Amino acid sequence: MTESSLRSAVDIAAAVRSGDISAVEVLEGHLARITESDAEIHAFNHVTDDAAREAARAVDAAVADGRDPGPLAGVPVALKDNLCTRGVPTTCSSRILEGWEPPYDATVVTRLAAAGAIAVGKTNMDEFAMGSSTENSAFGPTLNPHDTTRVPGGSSGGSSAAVAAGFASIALGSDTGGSIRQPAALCGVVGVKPTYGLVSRFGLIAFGSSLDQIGPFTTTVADAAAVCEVIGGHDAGDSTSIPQAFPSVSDHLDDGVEGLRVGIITEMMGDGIAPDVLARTRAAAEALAAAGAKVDEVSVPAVTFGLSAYYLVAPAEASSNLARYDGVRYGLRVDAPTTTEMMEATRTAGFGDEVKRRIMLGTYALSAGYYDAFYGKALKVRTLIRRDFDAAYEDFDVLLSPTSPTTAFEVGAKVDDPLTMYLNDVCTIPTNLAGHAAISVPYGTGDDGLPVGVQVLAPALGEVVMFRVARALEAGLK
Amino acid sequence: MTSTTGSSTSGIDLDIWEIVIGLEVHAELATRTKLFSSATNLFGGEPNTNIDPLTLGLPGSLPVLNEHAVELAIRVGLALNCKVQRSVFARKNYFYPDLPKDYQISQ
Repeated sequence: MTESSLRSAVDIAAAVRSGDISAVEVLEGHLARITESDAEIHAFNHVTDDAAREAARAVDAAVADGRDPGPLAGVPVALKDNLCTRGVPTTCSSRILEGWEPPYDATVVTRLAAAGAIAVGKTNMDEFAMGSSTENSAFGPTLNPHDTTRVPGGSSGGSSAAVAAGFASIALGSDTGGSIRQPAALCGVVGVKPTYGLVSRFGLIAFGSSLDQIGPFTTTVADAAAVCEVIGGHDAGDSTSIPQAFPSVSDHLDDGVEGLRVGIITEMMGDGIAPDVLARTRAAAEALAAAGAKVDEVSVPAVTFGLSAYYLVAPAEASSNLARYDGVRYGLRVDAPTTTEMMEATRTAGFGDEVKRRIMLGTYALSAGYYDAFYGKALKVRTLIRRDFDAAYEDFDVLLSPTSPTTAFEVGAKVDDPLTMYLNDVCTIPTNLAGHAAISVPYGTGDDGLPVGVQVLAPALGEVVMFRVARALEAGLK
Repeated sequence: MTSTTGSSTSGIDLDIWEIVIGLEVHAELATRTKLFSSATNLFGGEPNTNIDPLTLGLPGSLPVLNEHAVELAIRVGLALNCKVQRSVFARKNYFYPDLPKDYQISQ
């Protein structure tokens, strides 16, 4: 068995567990591709090759000794740089955290290591996960492996590019308004935003606490299921963690879609969505119908207000969550005569434009006299979105839409126009506002030959059916 | 607390005001760990020993409410014949060097 023939985590783990290939050999193949191509792609902020080699040798030793090396034995994983890793720089691609090394691991990092996965490095992102192209990184943009004149999407663009380029078999990202699903779509890989509370946020550096959720990037739906089952499930370290295991999605992947009711969201099939993306989404719906699903259109009216509500709720939470970067204890400090002036100088120098924009938006939305008109109103819209989704799920098991309005756009095309950039997440944001689950599955290419992703949405804890439909789409493509 | 007996002190006509005095009473709870973290709740130790990522306000840390502290609060409420009501936490945001997260978790 050769390293280059192995891409999927399920295949790698099976081969490593059975002794057909060593974890070290798998790792060296991935590290070689990083060395060869990442100077151009820039998926990584930091590659942990020495620690990875040590971890891979430990997996091989376990196999040799007849001990269980774990369900993800020897699987190289890339970690978004907002996940805390003990003794390894964790920057959120921000100057304000440059060089900071957490003294602890995020729960998902601990669980991946316990499952035998090999962390190869920390991936580039839009600063503090604010963006849709990974151009807002303080350390320079990540490029799309399919076409290096294009963006990989964002904010988890380093993670999606790492998987698309074969630098890692799997990656973790975080999704606050689409930051896993949109880059997955633009890089032609699978991306999952699980139900809010199914994956512990302990050790994830907060952006919008009521919206943030960790999830995987993979090359197959089965890999995504396997990773979710490892990283998910209750964690006492996160009070919003749901007290149950991640649903057993792997066992039901191939149950098929016969009789399932699939609703195409009317509001996401019109203005602002590119014709080639619409065509691929309709083709996905037809494939599901051909496989036995009952497919129809359904209106979810309140989702049209999702973007507006999101850009009050998320910045409001961010303005509070990002207050701690004040230069007092860790990260950047710009000295000044008084403490207040030091904090101001540090935050002025340490945050990029988009982060400052959202801190100001959020602080304004929460300020006395404006709270009810802005933040309070946005929370009401959030309730309406959840209500409209609930109504749709009375008649449908899952919903279907494009993931992103377009295929990958050119580097520099939208970076100076925040509103145009925000529109990238118009189809993904409502899921976060509702706390529901969604997955982006690659479904062919657009007119420019670049990947198109189709989104399958499910109600809270609807992962089993969501993964079945995703698997059926993937199988139908082959 | 100040007490007033006359109808006027320092030129303020107290007859037109109703005096309402609120008390904020703090009590040290004999819990093994801190209110929002599993760090030891112990006084008089070496500086920076009873700490963890949460008490340092480190990025990525999350508060977990001490269940025993809630039980003690409910017990004192019942013992004083008070009505125990549902309580929610809110953040009080302000920048200050001794406030690691630059917000208080308040009720």
